[in-house]
Amino acid sequence: MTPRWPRLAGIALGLGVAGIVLLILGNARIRAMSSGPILSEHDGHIRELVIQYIPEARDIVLPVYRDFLKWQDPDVTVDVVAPDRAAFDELAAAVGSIRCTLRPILVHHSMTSWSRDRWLALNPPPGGDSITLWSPRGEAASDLWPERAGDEQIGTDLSKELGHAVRAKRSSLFFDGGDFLADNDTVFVMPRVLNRNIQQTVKNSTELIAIFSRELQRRVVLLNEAPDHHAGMFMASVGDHVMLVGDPELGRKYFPPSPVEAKSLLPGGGDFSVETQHQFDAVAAQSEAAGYRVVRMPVVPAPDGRTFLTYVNSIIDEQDAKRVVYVPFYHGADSLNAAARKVWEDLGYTVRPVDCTSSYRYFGALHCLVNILRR
Amino acid sequence: MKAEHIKTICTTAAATAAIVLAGFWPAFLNGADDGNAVTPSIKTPKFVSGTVEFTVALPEGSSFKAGDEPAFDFVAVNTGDQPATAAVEAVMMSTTIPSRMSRSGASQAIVWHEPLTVSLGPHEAKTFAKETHAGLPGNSKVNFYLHSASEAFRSVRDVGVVSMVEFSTATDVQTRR
Repeated sequence: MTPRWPRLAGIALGLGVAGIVLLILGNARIRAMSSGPILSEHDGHIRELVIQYIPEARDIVLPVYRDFLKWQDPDVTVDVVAPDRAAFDELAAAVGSIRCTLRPILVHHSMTSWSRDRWLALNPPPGGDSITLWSPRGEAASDLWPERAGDEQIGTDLSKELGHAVRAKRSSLFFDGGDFLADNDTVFVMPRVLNRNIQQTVKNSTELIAIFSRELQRRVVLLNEAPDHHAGMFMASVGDHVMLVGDPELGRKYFPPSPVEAKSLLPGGGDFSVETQHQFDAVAAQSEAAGYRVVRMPVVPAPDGRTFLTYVNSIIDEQDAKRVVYVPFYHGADSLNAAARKVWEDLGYTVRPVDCTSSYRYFGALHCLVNILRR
Repeated sequence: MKAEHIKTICTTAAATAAIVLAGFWPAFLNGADDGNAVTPSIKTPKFVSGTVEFTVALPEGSSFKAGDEPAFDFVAVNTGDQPATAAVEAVMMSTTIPSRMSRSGASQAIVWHEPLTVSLGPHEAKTFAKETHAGLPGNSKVNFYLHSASEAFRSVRDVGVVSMVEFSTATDVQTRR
């Protein structure tokens, strides 16, 4: 008769081997699923960026893309998300001769041309090389806005196309990518993110902040008060703990005093009301409270609360030792353009102007159209 | 140790390892999706003012078009051991569906608002309907919010504004496709 001990020893050995295999697999999976902190808005040289293009928006976005892409170096890859090859070819022909590489990401579904709000880029974890694109739970009004329903898929589209280099992850929270402003130690979150999530996905702000702290791996500052718009319309972190914050009162100095001229630039002219000024000043005060030196930048919002002549809607790049900023400018607002340029130059930036005249009436400018995937 | 024993140990070990790995393997394969394990959605939003909790619903089967004047069903519950009074403001806001080319929707506009004060005994619940007497705009997304009308709570971020109900009067979704 065979004794029992060899079977018991075999079971123990089998459990041990299986445990070791599962441990190795588990660690590998955790490494594959993890990500680093949110990408900073101003640190490092831009290596890969994403724009979206649909032919219906050609008159709105092509002037912006032309101006911006002409500056990009040969080491920059531009992922062009487009519904089909014809759309991509149209964009490539329209931007003309450029030095950077355009890479088509053909998605075969409806979409908008606004890349910024689709996802947040999270750096690779230590020792890893995959960027994570963190997309919101859903897009606002996607049930009524078919293009937005398509936008919901773009993080996944990029991941599928770019393979191991990019991983897509969907959040349980509602947000737009433009509701965040991140640098190398802090991420500012707009109040509207709380309004969209409280009692919908989270019970309270503590829970919301805890999720953002865990996922974005930065100090989270949830603003209590701000203009009801995306962060990049009224604030920009520019390095060395300096925050640029829009100032309508400053903008007023350079805005045409003639009502006809004013209304030709903005629907209803400029909004210089006490209430609106207070919202911008509140952002400045909260930035100071978070440890930032605040520099004010001229801005002129319209009474609709959406159309802004803004100069913080910019893209910052480090090129060797040089700090470069791509800044919107608008035809018919020459004094404002010049005043804004001086603020950037006084901060030590080399300014490269980008014509956003065609896009701002659609509630966005350069920063709204271009999302940075890798620095 | 006999060769027979070694053979038994090896075959039993292989079988055990195979059974365990077969049992756990699917979990590892499925775990490769990109889901984010944060909290699930909250099905019924609550607005909390002190010990009073409000929930709001539309009458069952409601659908709306431009010009309709919706009514809402309220439930207020005092979860405390003392009588409580909650002063809130109900606000209905609309957002027109924007141009397809826009970055975002237009700013919200107030359609209707009204203060509401509810007094409840300890652990008492009240159910009541609220008519709005305000015609809805067409082709819009409509949110019904509650926010605190009490100074004591107004500045508390978590009871600031809660969207209780959301619906749409848009009729041209198909044509927009």
